[in-house]
Amino acid sequence: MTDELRTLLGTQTYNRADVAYHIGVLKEFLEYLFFTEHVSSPNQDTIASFAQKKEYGEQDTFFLERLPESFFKVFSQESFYKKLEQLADEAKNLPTLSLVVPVVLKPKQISEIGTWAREKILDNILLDIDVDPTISAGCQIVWNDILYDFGLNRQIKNHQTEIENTVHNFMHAIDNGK
Amino acid sequence: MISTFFETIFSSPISAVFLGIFILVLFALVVLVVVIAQFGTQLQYFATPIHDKIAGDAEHNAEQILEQARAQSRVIIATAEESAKNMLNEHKKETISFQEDQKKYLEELTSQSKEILTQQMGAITQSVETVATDFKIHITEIQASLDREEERFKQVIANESERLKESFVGVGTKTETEYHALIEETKKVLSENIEKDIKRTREVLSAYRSQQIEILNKNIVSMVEETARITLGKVLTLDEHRELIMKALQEAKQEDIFSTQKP
Repeated sequence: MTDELRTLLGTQTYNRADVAYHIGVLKEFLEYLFFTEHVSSPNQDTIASFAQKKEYGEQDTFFLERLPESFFKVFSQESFYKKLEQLADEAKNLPTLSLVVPVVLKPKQISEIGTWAREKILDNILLDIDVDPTISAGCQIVWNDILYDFGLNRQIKNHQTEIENTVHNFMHAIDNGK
Repeated sequence: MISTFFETIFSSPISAVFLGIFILVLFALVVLVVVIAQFGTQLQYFATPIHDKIAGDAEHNAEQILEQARAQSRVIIATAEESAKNMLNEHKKETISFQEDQKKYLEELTSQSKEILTQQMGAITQSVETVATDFKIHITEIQASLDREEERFKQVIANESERLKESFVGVGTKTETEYHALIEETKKVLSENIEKDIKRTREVLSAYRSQQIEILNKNIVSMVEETARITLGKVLTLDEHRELIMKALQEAKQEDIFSTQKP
């Protein structure tokens, strides 16, 4: 993994979709930097000017501000397109933890899960998150093309005997008029 | 028809008298006209003075003849009147006689009729009295018969009532016995049926309960899952979801699934 990709992942980019999105934002910012501002290194003003002109939000501004100055030195007006393609290709080969969750998570929750995954599983891992409300709670995990169900349904099935016993005891109690 | 007419005319006395008088007067007038006619013809030949005497004689004769004729006519009229009077008198006498005869006849007839009527009335009265007497007798007999029938009917009713009372008493006793037996039998049958029904109902309930428990066992997990999905989907916050996801990942980590390599 190159330093540029590592740096990119370090900007709280945990989701595979976020990687592609951030590479897109970076491409547009470098175009602005090289073809509009005609400078090679950004600063707060150029980022703010870019965000204002291209109508980007706070999260995008925050992403650009977190990139160090050294990160931009590898990009030149002539080579930044190719470099970005290399980043994208390299990101495609990163290990992916696919999760199916019951609700749409916000960046905060995704960041926490991604941080945990990079600490406990792999430091360059990316998340690929889909939503399925039928899971109810917990999540389903796809790892190495194998699905592991850690949703509520699995928990219920794991405790099926206990649940059935509880219901039967309850029915007996009803029969006995208790 | 004419003869009938004359017979009718002449049968009446007064009409016959007047008719006779009329005929006589008519005859006298005819004679007078003939004489006058003959005398007028002879006067044409005695226009001359020679004939005046003849005419005078003739006139005289004629007058005589006329006088005779008048006299004869008066005689005839007088005779006719006399005859008519006589005829009238006779006829009146006949009429009176006829009336008297008729009166007498009527009186006799009336008398006979009265007598007959009296006799008949007596017979009728006697018959009516007889009929009335018979009717009274018959009514009396009918009344007596009715009284007898009424008495007999009362007796029959009394006898039948007594017999019915006795029958009812017997029937009542028998019915009461049968009624109690029927009640006992009915109670027994009902108890058996109820017991059978209860047993059958318990069996059905037991089968139903087993069936429902089986259905419940089959669906209990789905029910709990659906219940949890509905409940948790509404009550869990995003952070709680994140915690459950983290717990699931930690569980997966503990199960060491992340160490597996691609097959």
